[in-house]
Amino acid sequence: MIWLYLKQSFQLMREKPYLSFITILGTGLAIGLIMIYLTSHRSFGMDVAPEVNRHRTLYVKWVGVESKETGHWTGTGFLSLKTIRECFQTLELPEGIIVTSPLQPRLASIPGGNQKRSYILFTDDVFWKFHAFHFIEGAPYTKADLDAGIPKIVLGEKLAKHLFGTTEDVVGKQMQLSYHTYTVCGIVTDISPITALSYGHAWVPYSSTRIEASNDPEGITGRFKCQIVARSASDLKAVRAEVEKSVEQYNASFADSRINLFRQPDTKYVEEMRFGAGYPNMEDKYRENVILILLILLVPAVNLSGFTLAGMRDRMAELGVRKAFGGTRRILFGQILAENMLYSLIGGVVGLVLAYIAMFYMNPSVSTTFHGLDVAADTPVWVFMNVQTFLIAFLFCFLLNVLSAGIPAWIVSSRPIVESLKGE
Amino acid sequence: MKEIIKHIYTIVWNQRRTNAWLCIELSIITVCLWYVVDFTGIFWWNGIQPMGMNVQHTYQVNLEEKTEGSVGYIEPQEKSTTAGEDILQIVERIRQQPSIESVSLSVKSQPYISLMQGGYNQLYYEDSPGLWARHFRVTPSFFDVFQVHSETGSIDQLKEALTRQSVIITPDVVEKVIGNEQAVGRSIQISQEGQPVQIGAISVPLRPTDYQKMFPSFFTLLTEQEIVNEMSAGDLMNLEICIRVKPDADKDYKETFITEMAPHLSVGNLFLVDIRSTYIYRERMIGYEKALLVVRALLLGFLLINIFLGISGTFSFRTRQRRNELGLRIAVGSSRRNLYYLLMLEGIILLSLAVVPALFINLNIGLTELVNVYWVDFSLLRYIGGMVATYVLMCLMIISGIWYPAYTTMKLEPAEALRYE
Repeated sequence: MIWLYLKQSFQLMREKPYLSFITILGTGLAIGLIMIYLTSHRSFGMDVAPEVNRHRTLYVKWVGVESKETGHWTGTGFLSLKTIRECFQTLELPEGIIVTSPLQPRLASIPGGNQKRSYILFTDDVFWKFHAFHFIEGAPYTKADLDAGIPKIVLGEKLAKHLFGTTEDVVGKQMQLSYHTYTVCGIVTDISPITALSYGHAWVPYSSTRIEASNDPEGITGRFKCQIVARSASDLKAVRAEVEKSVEQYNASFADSRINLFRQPDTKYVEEMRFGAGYPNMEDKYRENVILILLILLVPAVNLSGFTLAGMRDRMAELGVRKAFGGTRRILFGQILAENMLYSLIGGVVGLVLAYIAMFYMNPSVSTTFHGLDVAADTPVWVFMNVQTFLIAFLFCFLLNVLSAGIPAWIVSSRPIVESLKGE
Repeated sequence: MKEIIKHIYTIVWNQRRTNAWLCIELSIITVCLWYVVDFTGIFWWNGIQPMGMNVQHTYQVNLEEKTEGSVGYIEPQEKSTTAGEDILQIVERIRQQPSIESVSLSVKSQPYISLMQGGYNQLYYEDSPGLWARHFRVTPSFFDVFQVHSETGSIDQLKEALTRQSVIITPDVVEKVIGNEQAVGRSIQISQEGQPVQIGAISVPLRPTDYQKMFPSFFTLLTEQEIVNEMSAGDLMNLEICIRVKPDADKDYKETFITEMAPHLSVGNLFLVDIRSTYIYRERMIGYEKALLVVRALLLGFLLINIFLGISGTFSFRTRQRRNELGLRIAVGSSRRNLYYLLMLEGIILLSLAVVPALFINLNIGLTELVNVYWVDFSLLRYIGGMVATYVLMCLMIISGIWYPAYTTMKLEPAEALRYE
């Protein structure tokens, strides 16, 4: 039955090539645009090397301190090591806690040789356990190195080449970060700033230089961010509950201070939307997205239904004849749907091609800077595109076509036969 | 002409049931298109307005201070100069470079600095309430580096007018706190506790970035004395050394500067980290807006193509269905050219009818500030400009959308067209 419908639809398409072309291109554009949109949004939360555990990680970066007595703010900022130790490193459910600093600019140099302003990420040893870096040479620093504050450094390939001219036999050599001496312990392949939370030109143990500075008397705020890696994504809720308890205990240890995590820990997607201390306005963000998607869908829907209705009137006589010969409403309706399925399918392929082309050109202009870094992302956006995204976009557009064709079809198929036969 | 319009009007009215749907469609599309045209339009409009500063060929010199434990660190007790004196020496060495046009020192004043990092203060005039304004603390050469002109177009006038006892303000400060009177020579007070200072000159209006409204601003003098006495390591973050490079020297300047100058710019505990083009700071500030523009432009393109397709498709059906009518017209002597104009005019009249409700809806969208008013206020000019642009775009699309279906119908022989009757 379906084949017959498809055959008929195909025939129709050949009969009216210009209109079919318009319908297909319209559907294709809508699918393409929705795919671009979904893909760029999914890129915020999807696992991508080296951040391969985003799906089971929660993020905390801001803390606010308020007075228990008056409720006034006394400070906000990143977390101190003490806060991370007491609030998060005591948790039992998660598999690990990662500590990193925000990216710090430093002058990387070798005495009397090349120098380059570089972004350095101060981390702990756990960082290396949950991130999939590719080591060209050497190995990351260990817990022992971290505890002893040994100045070891993992260099990115580009920086290593800039400083030493090569990546071979560099491990064990010395270099300087703003005139502090470090020993190279490993070289990794460069990563893209798309993974902003692990990005850097080089990585060092956070204990190797003193970077902590608090702006509140209790030492709650500091210079660090924290990632909580749960055992699985289904654990996240339980981990949040455990964090809440642990925060309560931490608060009990202060006479007049209370910490506020601003609804953190966040999932990766929310983390991406959080620019400063305070509550991110997620409702607004979601509303904006919904309006945008509706706009993308509304215009083609209005268009399509406009000329499906016109097309239906064209075929009124045909439908009348079929009805007169015993075609039920279901059969007629089914045929119209099948016809639109064909349009959506071909439109989907067109949309996929358009989305790929658009993303190819979109990449450099959308992502020249990442969070204020003067580095360009060389990862194309389409690494985030997958079958699921396509299916969602396709489903949206099929729905759109069904609605825009279904309503006129319903109206037409419920007309009295005589009227339809007359072709009015 | 009047006759034709009346005639078309009759045709449109006789087909009112199908035309009503078309009109609603055109109305909805006009509203959507106007919204995007308005957004893209003010974005473009804003981008081409002057910002008040010229950042071409300018760089910021980034210094850092050695800390305890670093190679070559000088202990405070062994150090004979202050960090401020070291900075002045570094600036002097930079100034002597032949490739440099001018060097300036400033505090929280560099163009494209983030809103949080900029300096702000309140201005008081007589008994007016305070006005929050951007506070630029600069050496006079700042005007050279960023080419800030006075209202009358002179840079030197500003350099001379900036003294310990005088400030330079922007025209919007004059408008907001002083009014229509002559402003130069009057005194104004910076912050509630401050001493009154004289207004030395008026500069061009300034905007924080390419995409923001102008913001009231004023300049005060940053003296060498202040730098020597007040600057310590902690303030290094806020102190900016900005340079303007001679245009012909500005090729791969960063690399040249670092290799040539780095050894000479290590003074005291300070050392050169990098020089960065102002465009990097610009990119950081407007990167988000630029990305937004790409998205909106994509959306505008999408809407335009879709509207084109929709109109073209709908009119294609209309002309197909009316082949008999058109055939009859050809048979009784209508020229094809006239028929073509008839269809076009009909489309445009339909559009004009559809625009009436859209005008009303858009005005309300604008008045309830659902459009972006962060960049440009919603004014009559903006409303009319946006609507005219939208109408022209829609007209173009209707004309091009009707062209192909009309063209295919025109090719018909009268006899063949009449057969449909």
